Amino acid sequence: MLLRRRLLLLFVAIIAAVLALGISMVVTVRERDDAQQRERRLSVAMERAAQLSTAYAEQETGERGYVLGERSDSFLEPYENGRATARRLVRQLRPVLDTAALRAQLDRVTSAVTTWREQAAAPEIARARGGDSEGAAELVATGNGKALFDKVRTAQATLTQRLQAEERRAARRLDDVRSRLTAVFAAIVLVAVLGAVLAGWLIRRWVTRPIDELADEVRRVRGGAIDSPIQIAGPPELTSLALDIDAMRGYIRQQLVESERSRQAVEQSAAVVLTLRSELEPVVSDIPDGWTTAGRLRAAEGVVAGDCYDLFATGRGEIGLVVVDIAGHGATEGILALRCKEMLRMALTSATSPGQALETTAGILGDMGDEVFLTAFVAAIDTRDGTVRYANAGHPAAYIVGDDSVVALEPTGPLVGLLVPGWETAEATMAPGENLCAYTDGLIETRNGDKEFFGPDRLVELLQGARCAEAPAVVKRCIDEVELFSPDGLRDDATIVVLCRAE
Amino acid sequence: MADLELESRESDDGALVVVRGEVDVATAPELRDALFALVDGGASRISLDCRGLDFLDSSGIGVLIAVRKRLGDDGSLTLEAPPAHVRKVLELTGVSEHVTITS
Repeated sequence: MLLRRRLLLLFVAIIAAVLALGISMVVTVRERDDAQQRERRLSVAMERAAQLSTAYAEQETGERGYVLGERSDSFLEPYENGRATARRLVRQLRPVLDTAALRAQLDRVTSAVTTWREQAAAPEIARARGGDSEGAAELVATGNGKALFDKVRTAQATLTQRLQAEERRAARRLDDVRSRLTAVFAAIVLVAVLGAVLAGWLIRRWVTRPIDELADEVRRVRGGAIDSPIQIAGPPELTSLALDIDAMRGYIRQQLVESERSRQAVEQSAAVVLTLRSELEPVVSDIPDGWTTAGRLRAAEGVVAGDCYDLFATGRGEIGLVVVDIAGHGATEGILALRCKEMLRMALTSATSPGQALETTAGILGDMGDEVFLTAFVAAIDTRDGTVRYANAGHPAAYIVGDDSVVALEPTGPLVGLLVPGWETAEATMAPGENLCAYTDGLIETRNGDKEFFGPDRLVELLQGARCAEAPAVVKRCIDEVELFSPDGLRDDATIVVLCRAE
Repeated sequence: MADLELESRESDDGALVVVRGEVDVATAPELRDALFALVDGGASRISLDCRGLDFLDSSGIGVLIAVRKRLGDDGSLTLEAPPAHVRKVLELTGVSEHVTITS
């Protein structure tokens, strides 16, 4: 489900719960107020009922006093006033009696009073007022008045009882409502807390965590892992965002690849590159008499070569020969090849053995990078006796070719770049008339349309029996044939160097 | 144009990649990407079935070296039944000391 819909449902649920509890609280408060009011009303009613009781008692006392004793008008006062007071109190009491039963009971009280007045009090007073004291006393003696007034008292007692009962009931109700109100409050607090916790947990699950995950993925790519895809688990909006960001990553990667290609293309056409190309082909000089040299470096189509070679006089009666093949090509590789070649040349010139020269160079280059490695053939040839001291770092074997002999100068150690040190220096000899040929794998691994390799055999064939004066021609022939082998252009740089000892 | 076909099968901590065709400067990146993805995905033992490998030049060697370095000391790189000329190049360059070659 969409994240926005989930959040909407969550908030609707919370609001609904709050509303429900709010309404419940309002209703309960209203009930409590009603209960409180009722209790107060009944309290007032009880007071008034008590006052009414007193008023009736005064009337009765007054009336009896007048009839039985002195027919003094002062005794009649309480009778008359009590009546007025009672009437007032009844008027005040009736509205606060809120049940029909209570009101009916009050009616019974008032009607009992009326009956007493009419049937007992009034006739007795009339006789007494008329001067008939004996007649009045007779009436009193019948006990009618007393009986009737007892009925009034009974009715009043009942009213009081009922009022008390109602008051107790009202008090209980008030307590109940108060408890309920407390419960509602507690529920509101609980719902609020639970709601907050639930909302927090859900938001963390639906929003915060996926976003953190996405942020981690993006940071990882930013840290350099441009090739690894970005994806997360989460609600649809965020997973789709992750997909979009991943598409962006793909685009950036594409741009990087293309920009790298453009940069290389630019490099190829820069003037610097042309200089570099020419630097990789050495100017061979100072070669002692009796020795002929020839060499060619043919770069793969449209690039700066990763091959480099040099032939030079070490200054101690030796000729130095260095062939370096860096994996790949391009300006970076070309420069590295040049550096290696120069380092090896310097080492050989300062009388270091070929094996040692390789170690020193490898040490200086250190760890060149994950996929950078080179192979090299390094030799120092003594021009006086033709001794060849050489070291071969994973490079295709160089050959010493005579009229009917071929000696292969195989690797004396691994390629340079594996961080494994140690190249042995081996020895061989060049007899007069023999050729020493070093080359790179781009030469012999060229294949023609029939998938045939140019191969070392063909190379040896071309060299066998060649005179020293023919060295440059042989080199040219090799390169020409290699070019014929690959009409679509060379795939790899091809280098060939030939050194010939005069007869 | 050279062609390269790769088929990977992953297991618990390793992977077997069947390599068919040629690995040269044009196709080496494809091999590199595939092997790097396996190593980054957690494979520590990688085997290459090289029976169908017709050609491997210095760019291929570079990929093998890079993969070997990326695997680290706990990992291993095995080449199964490489053709003779490929085996020769591996021995020549000394790379055969750092990978396992089986027949």
